[in-house]
Amino acid sequence: MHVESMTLPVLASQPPIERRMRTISFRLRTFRCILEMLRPGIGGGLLVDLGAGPCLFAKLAAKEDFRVTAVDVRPPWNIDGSPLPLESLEGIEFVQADACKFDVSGFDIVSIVGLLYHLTLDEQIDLLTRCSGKTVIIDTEVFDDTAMSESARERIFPPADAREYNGIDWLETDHVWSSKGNRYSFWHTVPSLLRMFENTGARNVTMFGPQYRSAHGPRQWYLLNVPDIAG
Amino acid sequence: MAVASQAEIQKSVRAALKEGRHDEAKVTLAAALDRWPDAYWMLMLHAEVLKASGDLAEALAQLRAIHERFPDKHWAAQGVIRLLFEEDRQAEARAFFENAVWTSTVPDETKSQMITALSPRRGNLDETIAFLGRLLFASPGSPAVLTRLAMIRARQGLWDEAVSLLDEIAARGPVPEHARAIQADLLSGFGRFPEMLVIARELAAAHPHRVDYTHRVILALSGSGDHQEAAQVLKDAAARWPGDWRVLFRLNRIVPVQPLWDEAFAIIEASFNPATTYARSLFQFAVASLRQGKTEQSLIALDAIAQRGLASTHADPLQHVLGRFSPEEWRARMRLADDQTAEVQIVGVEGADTTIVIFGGIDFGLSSLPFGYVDALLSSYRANVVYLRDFAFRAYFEGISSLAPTAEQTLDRLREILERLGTRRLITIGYSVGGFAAIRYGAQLGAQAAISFGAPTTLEEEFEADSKPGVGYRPKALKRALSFRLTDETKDLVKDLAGTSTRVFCHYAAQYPAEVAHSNRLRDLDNVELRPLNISDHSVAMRAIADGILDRLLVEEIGVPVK
Ligand SMILES: C[S@@+](CC[C@H](N)C(=O)[O-])C[C@H]1O[C@@H](n2cnc3c(N)ncnc32)[C@H](O)[C@@H]1O
Repeated sequence: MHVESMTLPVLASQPPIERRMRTISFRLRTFRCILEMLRPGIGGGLLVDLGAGPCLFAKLAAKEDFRVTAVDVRPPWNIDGSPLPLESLEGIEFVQADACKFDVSGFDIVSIVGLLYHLTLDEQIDLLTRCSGKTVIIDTEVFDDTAMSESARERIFPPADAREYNGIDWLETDHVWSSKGNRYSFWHTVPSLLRMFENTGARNVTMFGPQYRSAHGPRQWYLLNVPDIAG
Repeated sequence: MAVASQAEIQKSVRAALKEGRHDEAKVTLAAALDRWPDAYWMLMLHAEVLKASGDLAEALAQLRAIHERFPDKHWAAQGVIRLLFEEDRQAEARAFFENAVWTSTVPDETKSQMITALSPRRGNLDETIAFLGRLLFASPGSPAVLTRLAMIRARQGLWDEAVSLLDEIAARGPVPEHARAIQADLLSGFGRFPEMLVIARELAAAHPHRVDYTHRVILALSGSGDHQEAAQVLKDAAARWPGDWRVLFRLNRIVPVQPLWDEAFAIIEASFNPATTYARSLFQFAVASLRQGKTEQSLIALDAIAQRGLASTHADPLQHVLGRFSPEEWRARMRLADDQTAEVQIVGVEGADTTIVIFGGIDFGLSSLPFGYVDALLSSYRANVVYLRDFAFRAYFEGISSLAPTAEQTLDRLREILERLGTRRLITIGYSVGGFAAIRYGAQLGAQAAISFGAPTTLEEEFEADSKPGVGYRPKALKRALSFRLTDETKDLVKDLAGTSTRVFCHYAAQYPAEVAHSNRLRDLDNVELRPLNISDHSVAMRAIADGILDRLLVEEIGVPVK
């Protein structure tokens, strides 16, 4: 597997509002940069956005001319946690389903933004295996013992069954932005995450800098199987 | 038919579990356990099946039994703890950890993560501390436990203890990196800046993208008295993170070493965009602009805060005060070219026998109003004004270094200045810790009136009022940083006021418990007038200026002549 690092021309901004919005804005701009690298031809690339939540990323992809299906185990919600009216999802198709069971085979691009770290290790492996060969956009928390916030530390457990991987089990909550019900999800260290990409069939990986931070710790964007590098 | 391997059976049991076919999973597993009754992972899978089918008590019993049979493998023990934890049976989880895991051969990293999860910083901290104490008793000096204990002590505000715990860890080996930022913050609270600097530099070098680490480097340099390098690092930080509020905040709080300080501001200014700047940065930018005499630019930043509909306890009254005159009129009224690098500036007024001394606070003005603007306001009085700043960040306890090396001698120098100005009547004014100094110096210089805003009245850090949360500042941290070199007698203003004729006008926020408690300590003194304002945050000086309270006090009650 070929691994490449790339810095996107996205400034960690100081936008108007509070921290959470600042992070979302930064993530959306990063996502747009990545989409620009994958800009579809006529007819639009078929993109499925798994764990779409408020569908901000799905809508952005639709604006960038992708044909978008948004999938979430919950009905769509607003960033304040309230339910999002379906009519506001014009231009995208929303499917309420478990990403771990959703058939991604008909899509060109799979985006797994803010979802991977809400899945168990088995589910992650299974999902990525089903995506293998496709172009996959991933934005995920990663585990770095030196960089986790103090509050995050209290939700970290030694992994029950990490096999050849390294990382921790993360204690989930029952907020709308959390897991579908699994009490723990698995967070990889960066090397372990790359190993999982490789083991599930990725031919190349682009890691995007700069690494940024959530309230818990470091996060990063990845792109698997960029078409032209895959060659 | 080929006989299935253990791995295959496990896979099929997992698949059945995933699809909710619990009974099928149980049957398959039972058969496998008959064949391999000692297979560790098969037994673990049994516990998993029991748990998945909701039989928690059985799952727990199974895990305990596995752990007893295979004490060298830690997975079962870990499973017990997680299950208990999930069920909110924290006491049992802790007990099991103590008995079965803590002194076992489980890897250190695993133990350390479990300790953290089992000792959260909320809930019953006494029990948590007792738990950690028992672990320490079994393994004295364990860095994992000491670190956790230090984090909890710090959270409780017991900084002495937190710091000595971290010192204890450091004496035995490296402090875990995640605890180092907290260690740096604690050291700053104790004035141990050179030690803080070492840690902050290491953190910033290891994580150059973390502005919060660079922020600590600047703070530590300032605290260590290396103002030149502090300004240099600040300028570099301004180039990297021009709109970051921490950088702006530091800009407003370091000793302005020129030309670096102006250059840093110029860098920030060049990329300033009110529409995209974070609200907290906007306020700091507004203050920094005022310190450069740029009223219009400051108003743009304050306007941007208001337009976003963000109520801001400091920005609102500042905007209000600035609205009193047009930018041209502000300029015209300022009698003083506000020199940010001067600790003492004097405005003499022909024929005036009243002198007002302003004790600048932590951002070197009267609250967020720089001295140039304060002077524009005071220019309507027939009074000399002396503006003071303390670049040693000691709230003037150690005097003003550019006047004299000690507080005693500083008083003498101030007396000389007052005499030269022909002072027959003295009024001192200060906000927050500057208010503390205004009262203390006022009493010692024989002031007629000392006017304080939101000032602490004791720097005894254990004073309980301070443990209550307030808005905008951490009085305890500040007081600790100020007073660690003071003797107990000099921490309390009440002693200063007994037997003086100085009248104290003590303004405070009536709904801010810490300010109320501090002010109440002066309630019984004849020469003190308590002046509550109906607000709940630490913005009492700006409010008093904005609402004309200060003007009325000076003119109507103290009788300062108007020109
Ligand atoms: C942290 S939010 C991320 C939302 C959005 N993608 C973003 O990045 O802002 C995680 C979302 O994943 C959804 N989710 C969690 N587990 C899921 C699963 N197994 N299948 C589908 N959606 C899931 C949650 O309902 C939630 O909306």
